[in-house]
Amino acid sequence: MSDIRVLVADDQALLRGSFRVLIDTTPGLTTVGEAADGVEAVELARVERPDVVLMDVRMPRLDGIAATREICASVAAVRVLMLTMFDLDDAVYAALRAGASGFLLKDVPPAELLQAIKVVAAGEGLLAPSVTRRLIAESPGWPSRGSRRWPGWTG
Amino acid sequence: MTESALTQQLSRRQLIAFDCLVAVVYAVLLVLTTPVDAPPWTVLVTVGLAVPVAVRRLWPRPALVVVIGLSVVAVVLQVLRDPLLAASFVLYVVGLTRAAAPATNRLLSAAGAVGVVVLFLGVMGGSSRGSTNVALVLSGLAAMYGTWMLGRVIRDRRAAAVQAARALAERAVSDERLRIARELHDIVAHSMGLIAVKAGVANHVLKVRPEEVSDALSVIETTSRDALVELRHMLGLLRTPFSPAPLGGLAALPELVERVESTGGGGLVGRRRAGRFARGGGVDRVSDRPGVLDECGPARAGHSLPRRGCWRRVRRTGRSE
Repeated sequence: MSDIRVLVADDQALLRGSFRVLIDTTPGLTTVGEAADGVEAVELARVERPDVVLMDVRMPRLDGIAATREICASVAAVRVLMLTMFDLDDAVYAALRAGASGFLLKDVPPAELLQAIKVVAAGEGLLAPSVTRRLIAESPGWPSRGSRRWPGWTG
Repeated sequence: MTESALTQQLSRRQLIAFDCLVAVVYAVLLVLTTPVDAPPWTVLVTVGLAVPVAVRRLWPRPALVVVIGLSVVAVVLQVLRDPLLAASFVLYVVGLTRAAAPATNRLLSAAGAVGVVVLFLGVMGGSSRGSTNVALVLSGLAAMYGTWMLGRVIRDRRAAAVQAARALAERAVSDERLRIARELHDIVAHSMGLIAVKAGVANHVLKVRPEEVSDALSVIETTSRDALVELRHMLGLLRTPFSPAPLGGLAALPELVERVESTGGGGLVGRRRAGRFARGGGVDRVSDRPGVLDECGPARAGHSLPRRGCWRRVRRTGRSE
C-alpha cells in the first residue's frame, strides 16, 4: 500500500512547517506540497492530486471554504480535512456543505491529527468532539411528539 | 474645548448686552408714548419695568419678582401701556434656565390654559365694555404663558441634546472597548494556537527529529514575547485615553481648584467660591478635568446663584492655564 499523500494549506509558514515535519516523520504519510493561500491550494490539488488536503479556514485571496468547494468539485477522490483555531458554527457548517470530510481544531494533539488524516483518507468522516457535540445540539434529532422546532416532521 | 467655552461665554455677554439694549428701547418707547399729563412717577414705573428686562439673564428669579410686582402696580394705577411684555420677556429666561417643581408646572399649565380660553372667549364675545386694561392684562397673561412654555420647550430640547451627545460618547467608548477586546482575543488566540501546535509537534517527533525541538522552542519564545508586547500595548490603550475622569463628591472641589491653580491660573476667587458653593450644596459631582464641573445636582431654592457663579469662576481659572 502506497503512502497517503497530503497537501498542507495554511497561511502561516511556521504552522505549515510543523505539519510537514509531523506528516513526513510518520510512516505511511507523505507531504506532497504546501500552499500559503486558497488559490495555491486549488492549483496544487489539481496538479498533485493528493489523497488528503489539510485546509486552514482563514486564508488570504481565497479562504479555505471556497478552496474546499473548488477542490471537491474539480478534483476526484480528494478528501479535505478542515483545520481551524476556533470551532465557529458558521465555518463548520460552511465547510461541511462545501464538501469537507472532517473538521478539526488546530491544537488537536499530533497523534489525533495523524489518525484523522488516515481516517479521512480511508473515506470516512471525522469531526472534532466539540464540533460533534454542537452538531448534535443543533440537529433536529429524532422526530418527537410535540416537537415545535420541526412541526412539519410530525405532521 | 477651551475655544467653545470662550465663545459660549462671549455669546452670553453679548446676550446680556442685547437685553440691555432691548430694555433701553423699551423704556424709551414707553416714555415716549406716555401722555404728557401723566403724573411724573409713571416714568419711574416705566424705568422699573425696563430694569429687570436688562438683568433677566443675570438674576432671572429676582428680575421676575420685580417685574411682576411692578406690573401689578401698573395695572392697579392704570398706567399699563403694553400687554405685560416685560414680564413675558423675563419669564422666558426663567422657564429656560430654572427647573420648576412638577406641581408648579401643572399649576402654570392649567392657569395658562384657562387664561387662553378666557382670552379667546373675550375676543369672541367682543368685550363691549371696552375695558382696554382687562384686554391688556388677559393678552399679557397669554403672552407670559406662551413665552414660559417656549422657554420650557427650549430647555427640554437642550437637555435632550446634551443627553444624546452623552449617550453617543458613551457608545463610542464602549464600541472602542469591544474592538480592543476582540483584538486582545485575536492576539492571544493566534499566538497560543501557534505555540500549541509547535510544542505538540516537536514533542511528538522528539525521537525521530530532535532538531525540530530547538526550532520549535525558538518559535515559541519569539511568538510568546511578541504576543506579550502586543498585549501590553493593547492594555495600555485600554487604560489611558478615554477612561472617564474619576468623579469626586463636593469634597473634591477644593482639590480641583488647587489643581487648576497649579496649572498657573489665579484661582483665589475660585477657591473662595468653591467653599461657599460646597456649603450651599448645589452640586454633587465634580469632574476631574481642570475647570469643568460635570454634573449639577438638584439645586436647593436660593442656591442657584452660587452654582452659576462657581461654575463660571472655576472655568475662568481653568482657562488661564
